[in-house]
Amino acid sequence: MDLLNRYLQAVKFWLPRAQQDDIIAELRDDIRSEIEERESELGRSLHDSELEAVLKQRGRPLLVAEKYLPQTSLIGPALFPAYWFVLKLVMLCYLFPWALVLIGAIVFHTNAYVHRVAPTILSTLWTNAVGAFAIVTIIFAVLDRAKNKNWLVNDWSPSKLPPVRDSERISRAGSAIELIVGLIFGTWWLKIVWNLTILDSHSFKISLAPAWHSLFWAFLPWVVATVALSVFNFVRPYWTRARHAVKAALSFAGAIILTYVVKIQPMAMVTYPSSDPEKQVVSAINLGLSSVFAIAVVINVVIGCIELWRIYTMNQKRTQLTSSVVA
Amino acid sequence: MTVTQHNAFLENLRLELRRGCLVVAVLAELKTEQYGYTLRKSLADHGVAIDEGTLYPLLRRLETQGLLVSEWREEDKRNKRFYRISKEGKAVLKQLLGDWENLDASLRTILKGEFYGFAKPLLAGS
Repeated sequence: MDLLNRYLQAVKFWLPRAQQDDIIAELRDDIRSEIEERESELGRSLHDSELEAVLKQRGRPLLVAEKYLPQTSLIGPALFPAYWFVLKLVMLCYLFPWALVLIGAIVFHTNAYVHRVAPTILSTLWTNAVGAFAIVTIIFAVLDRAKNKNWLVNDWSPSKLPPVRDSERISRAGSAIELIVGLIFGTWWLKIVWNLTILDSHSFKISLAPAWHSLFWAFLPWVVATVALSVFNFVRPYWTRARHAVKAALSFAGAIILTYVVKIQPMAMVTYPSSDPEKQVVSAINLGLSSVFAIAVVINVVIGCIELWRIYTMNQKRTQLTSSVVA
Repeated sequence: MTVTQHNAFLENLRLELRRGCLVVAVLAELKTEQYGYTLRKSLADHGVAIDEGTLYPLLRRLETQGLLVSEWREEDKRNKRFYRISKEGKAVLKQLLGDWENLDASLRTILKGEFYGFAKPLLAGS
């Protein structure tokens, strides 16, 4: 019976202290009853291997004890969907952009400093991810334990629910903003790429490298096409496969142009009133500029992929609709 | 859906279907005083097999809710815990059985005898 005592001791370890003896006494009696029944069937005592089989059939001690414990969860089923939604939101709005920036910086920078600090940035990103996860989890665990979920059950109104979303409809306000920003930023940007001057004040001049000039003819059709798409979206505010395809093509084209931009080194030149410009300042400006463009490349690739995905899902929906009509 | 997935899915549905019935079966069986092991045997003999990991926590829960009473007594030179249904348990069992009958009648109306009729020859053959 040593094996039985060892088994019961292992179960007891996981039980609530106040009920340990009671539960173990009952479990002991139940197992002994089963053993006695087997022994009377066989007409002999059970061998160790047979006793072991009886105990194994009962299950792992932790799992046996767990059935006596109250059902507990850190975040219950009522709040879990909201918890999961917030976690995804944090990941999408906070961690994902930072990860993109980091990947962009590591992939496109030739600067040795960036590669040297990359592990530190990665570790910070990881710490932030764990921190964000912990904070969201703690908040929801506290909310779950607040228990009074009346507000969750009763404090709502059907009329306050958001309107039905049409995923194919384009917001006119969004198109208008895109159009205005596209026109202002596009004109400003084309002017800079043509003149190569970013800032010219009191003999302090920041200008782009001459290599930029050749990219003007690449930026021009890109800006025009982007503005044209915004105009078209404003007039006919519905996504079609063709328009998704144009947007994807524009994003990938933007990514290609910007990849060339990132390769221009140095990107900018600084002219100081004194004859000895600070090398560190020039280097910092160049590093900042190439970081911004590296990020822009990654963002364009992501947008392009999203548009391709939308075309794919539109096709899927159409196939499903056709097959359901045929059926 | 693979055969394994189908079987697992069906098993889950069966478990859900049985869960509520177990309470009724245990309360009904404990009209006569029994200890855990004999109760488990007796339920199994009536076609309601239940493993000890489910039965004992269920007995404790029902006792905490006041539907069962228990006492430790010596029998065959061993201490055993005997359970029986309480007065409150009897009242609850009566209500549950009423609900059971209503549910059964409703299901028969919904199915219009179709499935029961279909199942009868199968059950008779088993």
